[in-house]
Amino acid sequence: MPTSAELITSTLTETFDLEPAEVTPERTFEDLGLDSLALVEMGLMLQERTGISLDDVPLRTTIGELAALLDGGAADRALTTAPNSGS
Amino acid sequence: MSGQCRAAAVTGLGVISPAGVGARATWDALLTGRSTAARDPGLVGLPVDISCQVPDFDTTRLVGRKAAWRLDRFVAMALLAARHAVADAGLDPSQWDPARVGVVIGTGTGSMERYVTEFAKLAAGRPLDISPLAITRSVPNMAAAEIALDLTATGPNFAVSTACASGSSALGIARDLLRAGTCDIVLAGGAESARHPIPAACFHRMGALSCRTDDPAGACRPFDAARDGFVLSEGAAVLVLERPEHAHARGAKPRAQLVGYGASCDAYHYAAPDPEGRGAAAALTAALADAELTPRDIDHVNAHGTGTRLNDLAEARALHAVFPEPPAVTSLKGALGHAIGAAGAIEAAVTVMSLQQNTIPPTANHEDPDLDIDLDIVAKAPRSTPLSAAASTSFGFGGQNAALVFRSV
Repeated sequence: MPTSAELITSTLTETFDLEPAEVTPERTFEDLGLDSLALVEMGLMLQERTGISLDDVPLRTTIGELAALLDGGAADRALTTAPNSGS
Repeated sequence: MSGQCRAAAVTGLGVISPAGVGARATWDALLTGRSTAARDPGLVGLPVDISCQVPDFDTTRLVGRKAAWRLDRFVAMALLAARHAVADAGLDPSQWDPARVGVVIGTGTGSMERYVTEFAKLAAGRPLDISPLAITRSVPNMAAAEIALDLTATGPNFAVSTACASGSSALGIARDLLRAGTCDIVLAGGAESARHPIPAACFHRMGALSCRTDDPAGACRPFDAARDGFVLSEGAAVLVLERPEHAHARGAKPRAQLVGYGASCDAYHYAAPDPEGRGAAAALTAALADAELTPRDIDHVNAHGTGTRLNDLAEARALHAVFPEPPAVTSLKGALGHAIGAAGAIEAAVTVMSLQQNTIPPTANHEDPDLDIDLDIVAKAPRSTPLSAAASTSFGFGGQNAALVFRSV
């Protein structure tokens, strides 16, 4: 059974062409080049794998923070900043 | 303005078709005269469960992970075709003036699969699971937009939707952008992946699909007495069109010239063509006039040729109306099926290759000529013959018609 951090890493590397070495716990999604829409898309992929809703994850969230929230099973309640899109 | 200046140079081709990934793969397969139609696992349970599918189209492998994650299939096919076309033209996007490069891509349906997938979430009471990219993955203009993003083309950028004429319409509009001096280069063509249960069921209910499901490879029979409809297909083709002066200045050798474009609307019926082919004839006549050519100058017509009774008869009447003696005709739909908004672009690309090779690919499954058609249909085997000018015709639901005329160089 992969850990939450491993699930996030594999989702990011398999989907967004990131190197595993880039995806470290202290980095934010913004650091990794994701925009708000890509982050929501990643959340939907993680939701499919974990069953945990990941609505409204802020771009400044770190990988470590999201992993901790997934481990707690409460990401949907803890993170509330809405993503922004252009038009 | 002279005929030479009014032309657009075709300097690159990119083709993704059920015959393979790449213009050469498509050409080589067409010369065999065999159909690509087969049972489609995605259409299981439908009355018509056959299609022509692009083989081994792995989006991630072919366009790269960085782009693949947000591209629906028709957009990925368009993007790969555009990359092929630009490479074939010997162009380096880092060297071109992006503001002088336009993109015009036709499509009939966009990504119907995406809408269905996302609607299923809504129907299941999960609106918050709908992807924020449902729109940007699927709307018809996104093929052109993603090509511009990938290759850095900041000039005019359009989607054209004239049903099954979309790919041809896009090429004509692109030619007009060059003729107007708006662009130096336009990447133009069509893309479609409507190989999906909804359009498959719909086209079947319209009576447009061949029901010869026990013989997929023999199903689509353009201009044949035993024709009963087309086979749903997918694919993309992009042509690099350039102002001839621009191509010459960079030392590019054109494959052919796009010299004429004509468009019309039947204004007869929302789905059926004018039975006399009046709209089709008008588009072809306009394209010839635009090319400053007479009907006798045309050596070959790459026909729309869907293999439906209504289209084949209407097209035959149109060709007889325009040409005192209709030239050699072929239809690629027997081999490749009907790729809807991509079909005209794929057929235009093949017309260009025909001019280059002085060879007309055969019409697959044309076995028993319909006497009411009375055309010189190239069948069974490729025909080698000198070709200096050829037309490609496309007709769409809504009575929308487009005709293109190419000349060899």
